[in-house]
Amino acid sequence: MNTHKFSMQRFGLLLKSEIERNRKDILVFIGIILGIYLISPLFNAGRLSTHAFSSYIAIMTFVLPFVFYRNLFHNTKGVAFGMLPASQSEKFLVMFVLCALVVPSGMILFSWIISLIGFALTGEAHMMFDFLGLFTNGNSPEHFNLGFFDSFFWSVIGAQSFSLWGTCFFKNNKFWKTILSGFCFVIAISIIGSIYGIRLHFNHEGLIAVNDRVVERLTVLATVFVQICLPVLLWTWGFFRIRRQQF
Amino acid sequence: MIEIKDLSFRYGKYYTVFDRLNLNLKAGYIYGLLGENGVGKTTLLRMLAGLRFPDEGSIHVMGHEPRRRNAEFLSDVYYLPEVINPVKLSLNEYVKLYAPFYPRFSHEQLAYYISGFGINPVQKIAQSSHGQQKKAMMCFALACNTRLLLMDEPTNGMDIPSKSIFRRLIASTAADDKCIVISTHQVRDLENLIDPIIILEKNRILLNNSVEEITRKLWFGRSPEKSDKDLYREESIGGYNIVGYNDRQEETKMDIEMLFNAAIQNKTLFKRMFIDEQDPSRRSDFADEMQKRLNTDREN
Repeated sequence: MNTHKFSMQRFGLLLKSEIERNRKDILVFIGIILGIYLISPLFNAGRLSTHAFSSYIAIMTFVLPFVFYRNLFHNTKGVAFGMLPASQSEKFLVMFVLCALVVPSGMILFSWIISLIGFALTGEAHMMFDFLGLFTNGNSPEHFNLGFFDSFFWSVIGAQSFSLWGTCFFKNNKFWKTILSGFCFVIAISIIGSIYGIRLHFNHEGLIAVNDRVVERLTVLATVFVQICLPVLLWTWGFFRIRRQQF
Repeated sequence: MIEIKDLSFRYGKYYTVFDRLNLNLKAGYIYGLLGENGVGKTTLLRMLAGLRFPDEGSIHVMGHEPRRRNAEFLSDVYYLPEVINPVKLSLNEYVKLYAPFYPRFSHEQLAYYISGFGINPVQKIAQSSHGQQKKAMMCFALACNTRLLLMDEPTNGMDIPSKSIFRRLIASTAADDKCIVISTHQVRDLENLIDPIIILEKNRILLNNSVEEITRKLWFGRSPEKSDKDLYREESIGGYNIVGYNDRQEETKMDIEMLFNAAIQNKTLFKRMFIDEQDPSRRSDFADEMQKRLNTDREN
């Protein structure tokens, strides 16, 4: 096997071994989806709540990195993965592909299959039934449109970038530390936003009219930052962090 | 093969494990890493494996910096920790998944080690006893044929027959291009296997010498009487087991446990004798140390 920084063969082997290692957890996630699909209508007058179902899938996708890599830097449980002969970029990419692509796609595909069966039996369609719609923007064209980057799939994966970052950044108590960091981040952004908003509304003479174009541009900037820049930033940060973590 | 230069490492701000440590390990040897609890044996192994990073100084293993943890380095190093994380796979499944990562993995050798230890390769590793888990992972580690094999307390949890099998298998796997470092407290388990011996002491090395060098300088034996010249003695039936200066250049069989205890009781003396390579035959050089030790003995 070649020993370059990135080897496709080694990446494939690593992905295979990680799927095998997390096989039980993956099956549990699939079982939860099936359970929700079958049990949820019992509490909702015989109907499946579309939003609740998709939210459950989104939550499960968000927690995936915490479940799969809870022992990433553990001084005994994490050693086997840490010592596997693969480069750090291969290891991070495998984490990313497994958490952000393979398992979420598998969950969506499974949801779509059971939705299809459900539709065939009851004639009821819901959000997960619209397979392609999950990957395209639901907004009307006159709204600001980021295409795929506004889709349900990307929104969930974008949110997951935060949990993947937390998994790489924190050595232990990953979940709670990540959630706490999230709260701190939201509070900081809110404070900055409020200060900026106040300064925009008032000048030294008092209240001024807000320019629609300014607001629109700020909204575009904020959306692009949150939907695209932030996830990419968090993935990159996670990658650099994994290289520096000790066991 | 391993070059450690001015290595310093601390846990937190105040707990210094290594302070400007220098050490060279060569290929073709099975090193025994001994030391009291907390002197940093596991930390050193983890640093050699790239799992921990030095605060200062450098470590080079086969020309690589372990902290970079690159694929080429990792494919030539195997670290077997003291506590094994039991995987929910059988040894056969484990080998199928992870052996392709190691370019020199030998399935023939694996079969030999499995039969040597008498383990069941289809049984889930997590469902085996601690000793069986250790043996399973040891089979895998040895079959990987990495040039550097780091083992932390490998015989802990093993039954008595397995310990002798372990010695036999390790001896059979040794080669000119390989370096094996075994950290242990169970020194008797590794008797006649490890050579050279490294004794770590807080922040420094007391000894890093071959058995031949050690027995050239030290005398191991029994005597019915105790003497002021003894570096270390233990009472036994009908006399004393003794470690002393080998001033008559006699050839004696080294007792690792006695050596370790002698080193711990005569730290400065050992450092001067083995690390600074001062001549022990010039007794006057060591007289002050000897006197100090005797005074302490008397006070106790």
